[in-house]
Amino acid sequence: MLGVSYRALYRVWRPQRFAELVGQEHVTQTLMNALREGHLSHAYLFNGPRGTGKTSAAKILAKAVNCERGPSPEPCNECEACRRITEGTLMDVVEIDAASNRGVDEIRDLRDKVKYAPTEVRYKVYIIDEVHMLTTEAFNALLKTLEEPPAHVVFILATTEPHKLPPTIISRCQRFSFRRISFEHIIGRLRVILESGQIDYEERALFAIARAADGGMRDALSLLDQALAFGGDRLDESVVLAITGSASQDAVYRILQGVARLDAASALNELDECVMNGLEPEKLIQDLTHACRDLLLFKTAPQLTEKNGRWTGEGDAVRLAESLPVSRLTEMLDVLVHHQQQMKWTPHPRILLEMAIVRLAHSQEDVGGFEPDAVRELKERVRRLEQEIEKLKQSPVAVSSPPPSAPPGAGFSSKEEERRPSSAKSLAVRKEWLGQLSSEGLAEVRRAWPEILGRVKEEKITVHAWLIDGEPVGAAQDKVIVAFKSKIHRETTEKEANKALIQQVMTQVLGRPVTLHTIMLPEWNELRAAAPAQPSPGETQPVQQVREDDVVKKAIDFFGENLVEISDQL
Amino acid sequence: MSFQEVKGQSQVIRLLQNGLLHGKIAHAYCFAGPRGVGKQKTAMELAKALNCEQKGADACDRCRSCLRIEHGNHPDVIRIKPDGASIKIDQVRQLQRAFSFSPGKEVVRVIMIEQADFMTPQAANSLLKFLEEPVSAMVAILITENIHAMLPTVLSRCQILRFSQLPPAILAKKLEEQGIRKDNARILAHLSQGEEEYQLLDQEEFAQLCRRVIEWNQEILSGKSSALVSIQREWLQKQTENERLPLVLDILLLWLRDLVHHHLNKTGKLDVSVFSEWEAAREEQAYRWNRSRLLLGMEAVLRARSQLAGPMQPQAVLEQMVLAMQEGSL
Repeated sequence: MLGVSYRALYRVWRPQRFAELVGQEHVTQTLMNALREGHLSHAYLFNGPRGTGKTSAAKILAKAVNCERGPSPEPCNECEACRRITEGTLMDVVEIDAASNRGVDEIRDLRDKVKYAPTEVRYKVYIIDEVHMLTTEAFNALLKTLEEPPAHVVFILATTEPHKLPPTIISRCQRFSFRRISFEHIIGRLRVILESGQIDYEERALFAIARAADGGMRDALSLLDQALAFGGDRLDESVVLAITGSASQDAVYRILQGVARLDAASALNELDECVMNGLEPEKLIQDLTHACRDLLLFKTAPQLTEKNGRWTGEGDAVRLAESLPVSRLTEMLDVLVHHQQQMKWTPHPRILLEMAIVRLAHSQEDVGGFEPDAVRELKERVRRLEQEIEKLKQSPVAVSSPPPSAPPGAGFSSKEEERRPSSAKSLAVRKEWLGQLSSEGLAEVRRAWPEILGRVKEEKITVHAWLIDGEPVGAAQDKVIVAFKSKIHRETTEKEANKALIQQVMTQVLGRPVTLHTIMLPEWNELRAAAPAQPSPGETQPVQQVREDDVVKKAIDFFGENLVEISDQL
Repeated sequence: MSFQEVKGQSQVIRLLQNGLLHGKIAHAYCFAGPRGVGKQKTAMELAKALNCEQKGADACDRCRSCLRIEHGNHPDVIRIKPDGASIKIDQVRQLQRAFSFSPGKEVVRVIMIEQADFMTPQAANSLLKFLEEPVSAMVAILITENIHAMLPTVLSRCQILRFSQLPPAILAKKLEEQGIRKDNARILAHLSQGEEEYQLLDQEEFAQLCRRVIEWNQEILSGKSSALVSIQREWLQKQTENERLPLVLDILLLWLRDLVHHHLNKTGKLDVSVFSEWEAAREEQAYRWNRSRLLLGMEAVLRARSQLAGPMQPQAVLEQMVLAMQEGSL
């Protein structure tokens, strides 16, 4: 029958000697030394991730202690005992699947048999695989036997999850931690196997397998098996990528380039193409994460990337690495990892991936691009504040004097001037503006309006509460006119601090310096209808101010100065 | 019936047939992929091809063995399904006991474990040794929709075959061929449900459903509290509607995605608009919120979608979602 005689590569190539157990030298060296010196312990615990050689090591150890030509550091694999242990037919080497035989009864049975001497070889070896699945009772039943077994018994416990073992078990064993197998070791082993089978291969295909195997040799060999079954007698990178469902590096970099250019649309287009080719979003986000990590590694520690072979750095990749600052890359990694975790449980992985891409291409807009401006502005403000503090120190009485004029060049002086004119003058100016206003400008501002509101809210939530009443009605190159329905909203928005904040946000969002002008909605409508100017509602401002002051004064009269706190917030 | 009947999975089929031809069938496979893409069927065909009297890369469908497998009567082709909520360790033990007897001559025993991610940890662990070093000729096929829920140690012993979802464009065309209206087909192709469920919906009813979702979204975007009232009035009124809530949320999510795409589509490069009939509504709704708020909204919908599957009251879930969207936070 077809397929019957075929054995998976990972079974065919199971290591039979300690020397073949690659990447675990810290374990094999210790074990070989112990064998050479005859310092054999009666209980070992092998733990480590999947596919790193725990069970293989246990079997090799069983052979080494029982080898007819031994005991020696390496089994000969030729004598009767070695051969029969490999086949699994030797009575005295017992391999127990603890996950299937996990109850206390099975352990009692084992305990009863331990005391009988081995029949054919020197040691009775019990290999208890997947030992983490034993029940609590079973573990406890094992304790005494594990601590003081008869002299002819060796226990080897193997597990992927040592944290599930009771500490009392662990403390009775010599513990060996197997490591994930390194990139080079996996590639080296794959090479040996391919060459022994005289199979042509692409170097990049080996990298792809090793990447996907993620430190597990069995995974790597499974993949190799699959790739060979798919591609016949040649190993190509494309086949490996098809099997693992990974995207090619080029596709990943194209997406990242879109992200780097803040061009979400083109990144999404690339993504669309990948999905059309049958790639899974989950794999894709994993590949993106890996690529970002590689870029980050390349930027911060170039010598490392060459060593672990992940980096297949070519022109594109290097250019990409140059265009993305480290802070941006870490930020991208954060977003990707966050979405990757969510993706495991969502029924819409693709939409989630798209969200991640949009976020990646968007996050930059918040800070980047305008960052130098913002920083410059902040520095300027700090400088002014320091100056003012200096002045205040020198003349404490000067508090009541008019505020010192802003230093030139800060861009604030003009705003201040524009803030002052309230009613008549500003209206006159506004009439002139009508000519300057453009509908495209208005459309742009309207589009950006939610963004502006959002940012203002982040900066200061109260200002947002005032501004939300307004609606952008006109825009020119350097101004935005906002019409308000309610007077009090308009007036509060006009306050110096608030207005400066809004202008600053608008400047950031629109990408050019803009001044804010406010107007009442009915007034605007009249203006639009080209009717003659009306007395501005701005005239009420002083009245309002006086009234507020009145209230404050009264409050102070009532409660005393200490208890009254004046706040703008409503 | 043969491998040719499995549509759109040419890569997987090629891999299996190559394996059959060259005698390189592994002893353990994991078929992973979304619902309704042909995993079960492929597993069945593999079992038949392995045991077919006409040895080859495909089943003949005429011999005794093929027919017996087809009808589920073959003693050496075993299917395991969740018993109740999960696959229990006793089921696996029973299987292992059955395997301690040698099989008939020239028979490759096949085990299909359906919804393998529903194995209890004990059951999955007890499969480990069994999968790694089978005692006699056998092929185990673990079938799962959620590969992340499988034990990594189990997966590392299997060859993983990924069944991919058909790309929406192709799926849409397929649906159109089945007589579904073009606009509906486009939307349906983007939803994640299995194909069977599409047929259950009446065409007109589906279009109606989309309209209602879009109107609801209008309410949500404008920040009105009436969006909360709508939950009660629109979506929870009838029992039938209740069962449709996941679909409603999927449509809402897709609509929000359309809005985000509208934002991005300044240059006209993007192939957008799943909802091709709703140009005007999109134009109107898109700029009410900025991009990051829309994204937060989508996240809220996704979360509500997964909560619906849980033990929570649908009304509470939906209300929380609407509030979260309107607050612009999670």
